[in-house]
Amino acid sequence: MSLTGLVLFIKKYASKTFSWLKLSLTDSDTGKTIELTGDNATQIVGSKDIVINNNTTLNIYINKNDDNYSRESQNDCVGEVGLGIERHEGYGITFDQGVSVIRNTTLSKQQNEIIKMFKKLGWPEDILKALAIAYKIMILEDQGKHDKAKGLMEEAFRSKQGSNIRKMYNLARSGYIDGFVMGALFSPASYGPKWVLDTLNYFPEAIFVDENSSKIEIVEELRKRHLKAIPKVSLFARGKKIETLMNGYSMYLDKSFNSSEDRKGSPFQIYLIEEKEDYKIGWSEAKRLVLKLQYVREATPELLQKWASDFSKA
Amino acid sequence: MTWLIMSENNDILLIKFEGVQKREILEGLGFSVDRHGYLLRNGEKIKTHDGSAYAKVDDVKAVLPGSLDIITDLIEAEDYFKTY
Repeated sequence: MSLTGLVLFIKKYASKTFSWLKLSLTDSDTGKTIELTGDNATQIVGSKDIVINNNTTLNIYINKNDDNYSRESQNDCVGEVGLGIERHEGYGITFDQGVSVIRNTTLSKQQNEIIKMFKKLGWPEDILKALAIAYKIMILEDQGKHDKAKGLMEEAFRSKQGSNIRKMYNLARSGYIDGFVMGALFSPASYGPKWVLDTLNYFPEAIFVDENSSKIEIVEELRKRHLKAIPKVSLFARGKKIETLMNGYSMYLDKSFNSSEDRKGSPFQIYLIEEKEDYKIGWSEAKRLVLKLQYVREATPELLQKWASDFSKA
Repeated sequence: MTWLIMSENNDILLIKFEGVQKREILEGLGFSVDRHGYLLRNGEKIKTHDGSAYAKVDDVKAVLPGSLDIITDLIEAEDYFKTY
């Protein structure tokens, strides 16, 4: 719908004939809303009173309880919009607030620069897009926009790009992306497209306990890292998943100590808590456990007491 | 609540419907809906824009200009409008 088309649409429908239909324009920058009537529509739309841009919303409110409402009239009105879509007059329709949430959430200058930098390194477009969406979820969380952040996160994680978005979100939210930036500044050749794809496939330094994670997976992931002698691993979880994190780590300890392997008193390695951090992400509690691969000889009562104490403090 | 995105000189105007269901909007656009919630055009079930599945009303995220193709993936919908 061209601007002319919009004015004609408003002129037609913002009249007393269509009392079941209320039209207004909202400027999201100022929060100012102007009700449109047949008399003022032409003057307002296109005037300096309200500038139509990315931040403008045309509100169409249909009141089915109005005496003049009929399904036929409603279909005519919607059909007029549909005709514009079909004729390719410059607009499409979305049934999800998420699209407008994504559009209206602006990345910071720094975030844009980071994405530009990774683009120069040759990172694939879909990975950059995933990072941008991840950043937008973080912005909404940090602004305390709970519903928008949660809605966008759920839809984004469910999308075809969901796996990459989830991984990028985890890496960005826990600060690893900033670390990649520093690394890439000093050694850009080491942070190319192959590196990022490998990293998304397997990131040894951290385990992100999210909706899809189970206790046994935490045990398996820790064992996988143990086999590769990764010296330190951070476990991250938020909200209800903190319990999964703690139970998973507890299961890992149990399985490690009760292993059928006969160690004959030889020292063996195990991930023990080195550091823990409780923090908040937007509205929810979050936890980080830093585990360090350490040698222990056997689970003496003293050691067990110490680990139990570390664990309960965590 | 239904959002319509208009592009005008690279600007995006949102048009927000209230008081009307998504299904009614789709019917106003010429689609019909079968008893299982699948969208029909000319009586035939229609596939999503990428051809991956038949489109259900509940899953519709966007209707594309010209083709009136249906998108059911949020990121794909956002991508489309970004480049539009």
